[in-house]
Amino acid sequence: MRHSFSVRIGPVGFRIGSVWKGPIQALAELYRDYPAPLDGIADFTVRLEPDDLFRRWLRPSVGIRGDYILPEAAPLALRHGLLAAEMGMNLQMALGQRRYLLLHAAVVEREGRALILTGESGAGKSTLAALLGERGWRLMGDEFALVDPATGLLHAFPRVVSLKNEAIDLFPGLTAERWGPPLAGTPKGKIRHLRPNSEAIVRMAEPARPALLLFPRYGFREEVREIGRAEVFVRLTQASTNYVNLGEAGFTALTSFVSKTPARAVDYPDGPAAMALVERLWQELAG
Amino acid sequence: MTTVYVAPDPADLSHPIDFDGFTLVFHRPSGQTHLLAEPAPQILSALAQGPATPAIILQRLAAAHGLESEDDAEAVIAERMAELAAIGLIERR
Repeated sequence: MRHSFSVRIGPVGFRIGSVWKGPIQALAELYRDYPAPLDGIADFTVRLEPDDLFRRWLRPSVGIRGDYILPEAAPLALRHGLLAAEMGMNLQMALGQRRYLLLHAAVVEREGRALILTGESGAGKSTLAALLGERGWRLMGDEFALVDPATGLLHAFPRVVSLKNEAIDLFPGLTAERWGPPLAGTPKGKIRHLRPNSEAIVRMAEPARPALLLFPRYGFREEVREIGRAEVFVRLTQASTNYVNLGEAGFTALTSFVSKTPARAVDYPDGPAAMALVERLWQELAG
Repeated sequence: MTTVYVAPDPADLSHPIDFDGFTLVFHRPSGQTHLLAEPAPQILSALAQGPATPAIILQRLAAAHGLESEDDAEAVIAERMAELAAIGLIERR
């Protein structure tokens, strides 16, 4: 690879390489405050390559390659190279991570205790976590919760947050240096990357104890529902990308997590309502 | 109705976890997680006493839980045992 960049996000080291300078430069800029992989050794490699020989110059499109690949992953336009890098990093984690039980969830922390937000795409968990991360909580990650099967603790994975469409406008007070370049016309619409604040980056090696699990749904009248632990367990196996791969270690980690962590399903109409709801439930329920 | 079933080797199953009336077990040989509802966990416990037909399992359940035997109970137990065998948690002898 002619151009490459290495970075550590939480406990995971990545090396991203490409024949193109642009996506690597943009990535290095977004992650400029992040440390290098421990001992300089990356856990995962992502390669952004021309989809075929001619595509390097002619309407270039980026294929996502790496240690693990999804053959049907569609190539992206070169101007969306940053998005390709992010998808590549997520893919390596989702398919290759064995050290931690991975839950597709956003996590924020306060006083050593973690609030986990999980649910389907579009439920608003990334946006909610990013909002909380600017209001006194530490952002531990917006994509993956990393459960250590040995300790039950959650490890941070505070990658840059990709905000979509109208969610971008919910952060009016942030300075320009917190933002990546605007990406228009992506498969998910308009995207802009928000760089986590310095607390999230400086403290990313600090794990936290799971204290409250919420299944948020954006765009509904405010409501809080209890969910039985068997249903929570089943939903979390569906939200995990590597539960099956971890075998009995995953079973033990997840049953322990579900036993100890109170859970609620919450519907919310907008950001301010969600903030208030989260603070109330945290006071009432967080273990 | 006369099929004899055998319990799994205890080492094949994780310690069962009870979540609000459901029982979770991890089956080591297959790497599968099973979420069991009543009476499946009770059948597994009763079968652990020794190989048995559904009729004998019904007797053991009645003795253990003080159940009145209903008309279709044996058929229900036989169905559940066939399902447990199909997912590999118990075996036909």
